[in-house]
Amino acid sequence: MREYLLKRVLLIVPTLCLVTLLVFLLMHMRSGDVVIQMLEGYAYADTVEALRRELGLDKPLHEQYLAWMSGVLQGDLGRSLWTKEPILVEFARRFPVTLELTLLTIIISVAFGVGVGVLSAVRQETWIDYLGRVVAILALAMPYFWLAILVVVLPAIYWRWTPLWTYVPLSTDAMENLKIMIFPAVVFGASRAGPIMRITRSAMLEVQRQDYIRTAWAKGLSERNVILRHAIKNALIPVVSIIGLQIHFYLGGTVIIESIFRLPGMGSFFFEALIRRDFPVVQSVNLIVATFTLLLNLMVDFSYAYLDPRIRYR
Amino acid sequence: MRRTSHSLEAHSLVCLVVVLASLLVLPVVTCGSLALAQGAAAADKPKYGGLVRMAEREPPNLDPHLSISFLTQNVGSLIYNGLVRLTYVSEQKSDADLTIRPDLAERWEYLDDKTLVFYLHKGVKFHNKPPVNGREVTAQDVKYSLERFAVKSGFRSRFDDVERVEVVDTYTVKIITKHPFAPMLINLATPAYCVILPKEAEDKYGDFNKPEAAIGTGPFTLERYERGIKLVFKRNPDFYVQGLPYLDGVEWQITPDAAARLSLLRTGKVEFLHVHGFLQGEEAMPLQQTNPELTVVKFRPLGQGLFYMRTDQPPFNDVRVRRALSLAINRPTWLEALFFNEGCIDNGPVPCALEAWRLDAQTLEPAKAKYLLGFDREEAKRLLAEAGLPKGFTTPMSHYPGYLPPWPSSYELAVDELGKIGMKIELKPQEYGDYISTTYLGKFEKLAMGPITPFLDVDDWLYGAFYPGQPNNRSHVDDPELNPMLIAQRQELDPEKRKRLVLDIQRYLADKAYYVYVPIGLNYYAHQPYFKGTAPKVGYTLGHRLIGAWLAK
Repeated sequence: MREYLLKRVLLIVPTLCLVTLLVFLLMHMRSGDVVIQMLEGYAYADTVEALRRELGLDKPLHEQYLAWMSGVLQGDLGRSLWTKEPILVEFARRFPVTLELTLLTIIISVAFGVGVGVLSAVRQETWIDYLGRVVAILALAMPYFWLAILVVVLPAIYWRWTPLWTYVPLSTDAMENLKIMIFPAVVFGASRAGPIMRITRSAMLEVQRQDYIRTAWAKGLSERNVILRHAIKNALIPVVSIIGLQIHFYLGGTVIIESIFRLPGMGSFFFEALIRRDFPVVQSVNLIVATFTLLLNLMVDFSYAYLDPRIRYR
Repeated sequence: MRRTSHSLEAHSLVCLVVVLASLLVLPVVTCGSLALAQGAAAADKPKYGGLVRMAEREPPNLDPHLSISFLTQNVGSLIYNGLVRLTYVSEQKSDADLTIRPDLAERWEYLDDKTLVFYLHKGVKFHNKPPVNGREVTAQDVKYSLERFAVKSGFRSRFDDVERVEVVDTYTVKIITKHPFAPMLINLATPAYCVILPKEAEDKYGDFNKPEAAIGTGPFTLERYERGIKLVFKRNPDFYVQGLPYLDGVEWQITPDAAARLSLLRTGKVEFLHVHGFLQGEEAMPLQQTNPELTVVKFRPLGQGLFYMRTDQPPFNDVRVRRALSLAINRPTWLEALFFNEGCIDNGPVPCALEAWRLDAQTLEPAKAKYLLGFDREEAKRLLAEAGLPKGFTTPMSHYPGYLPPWPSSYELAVDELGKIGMKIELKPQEYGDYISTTYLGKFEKLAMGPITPFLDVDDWLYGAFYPGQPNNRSHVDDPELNPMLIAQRQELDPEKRKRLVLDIQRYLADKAYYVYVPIGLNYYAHQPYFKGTAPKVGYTLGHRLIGAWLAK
């Protein structure tokens, strides 16, 4: 177990190096120049060169990458080319918002997905099952950003109301914060609940046909006991896997959701940086998101042992 | 039958009661109406107090010299002043009124055609924030700020013609140019890049990007900046124009998404939409239907929509091909299809909104005017055949599909119109970052289309768009006959003589079709009905639109 953990943790390092290198190269392969974008119609040759020198973008690519990497190793993610603010400071300010949104989204999508999935499997081929499946397909088919736009725009047109408020941190006013976060989390969580619901349903159907479930029924246990104590726990392994695989979707989705609901998180910060070709910000956010994804995946892998004690790590 | 009769009786009774009640309360209603009318009159009298809210994206930087973004410049227009300024909305004759007024300089004069002297207002104070602590503005501040601008700003090319800035005494400063330079005053008046900054703030904070370093002389002080959330501005109690501004403050709520901004306006969570405050027709028409209570004012924007092309390469180096492109555009239909038949149909090198400098197309010889505004598909096809392209040709057209409606429809319409004369257009959409750093600056293949920056001075529309080597010369024009004309207008200080030169240039350009102009629609300035004393205005002029604004509630 310890050896497995060490191996997994050590693998994170080369993975992260590869991610940062790939992102760096992709950003520089994309058409579009940050300096010219900064100057727009005033991009005279000497002005462009002066600004390029000032920002350190006149150096060869490998030097730029190594300079950024050496900063990262010393705990300095660099500064935004546009705002000139230290990225780490911005990260500390924005990451809690994204983390809260991501966690709320996971909770909502799991609660909704697992709940409807279990109900659908237990009441197979009834109207509850059909309704559950229709909801799952709808959730899968509707892009979350489209749903988010509808939630922001339609009530404003028809009821003069919109779920947009000025952000208040959780530490300042928890209730106000929850009011602000719940709509984006529900919209995003609903769209992510679709795959969880489908996996839960099929896993539950499979588990319900297992011998030990038949034994449980034969012992005369109530439906509540059979489902909640014996079936669900075993059906959750593929569900946990799918959550682990979807972590990057959860984090990536915040890019659009935060912009629409004007949440000051990493997503909206990244979105602006991507359009503006703010390389240090894009690289740093990618590094952070990749680290977070890898760590969560690691946690998911280890949660299997809790859900199914037969699983052993080597 | 009985029930009907009963209903009629009841109806009559109700009517009688209403009539009697009306007679009894008429004097009250009349008094009430008078009171309302007086209330309306009172509401038109500026009222002090209140916080005005708007939704906008986050400025990339707060230092007016470190970013040319319109967001940064509009923030600057609240905090800072220049030597001279454009009119406030209460003084303007139209939204494109570019009359120059004194600001920190109470007056100015030309000593000779290269020396401009400014005499500063005495007693104007910077915001009362450390380390400046409300000290008086002097000529040294002007010299420091303009020299910093010339070195650090992305707009620094505006000062290429400036030789030096000299302090004469505490309240007098001279700007000496290398040669006569007509756009100098409007450059100084454009909010907010030639603003006057205090050196101590840069010495202490490194630049003017930190919120605590945002110290100017303007109508509002930056009270608080919660990154990603909002900027809060507070009334400057020591503002040098007595009695202004009326508002207690301005709240700039950071809202990146356009649909979210519109929802905030619809639901009354903001007083106006964003720094410019306007919408395009396609958004404004439904808004007027769903929210009739909002005040919506139509105005003619300072801008252009155009085709630009590589006039240095075939096939667009042939004037016949360019003229064919222009003749293929049915401009009245274009205006009707995309702009609800409202706007400017006869765009030319100088946009419709710049009336003072614009040549009336009606005064052109018809033979020339047709290549600027005409529509004749048969002649277009004949010109293509004469140019050796009888079967037409295929060309890519670079563009950015994310511009606000109706731009996406404009590209489709262009494909349709040009296809009818044999120009097969292959749309080449680009992502914004890519588009703005390539196509927008003339780096594209053959043909492109889109809107361009609403520059304030006529020099930008002529010298900037047609002189070789200029970043905005997107069509790569290099016309030996035109070049000296372009130089002459920017070196002529007499406004009347300069205007004649500008008109000559427009006459010369009329049939060259270096750019092909398409109609441009009206814009709609939308705000809450109780938000008064504001109006549309061209340029980065948020401060000019808020300085005399008030809340009538």
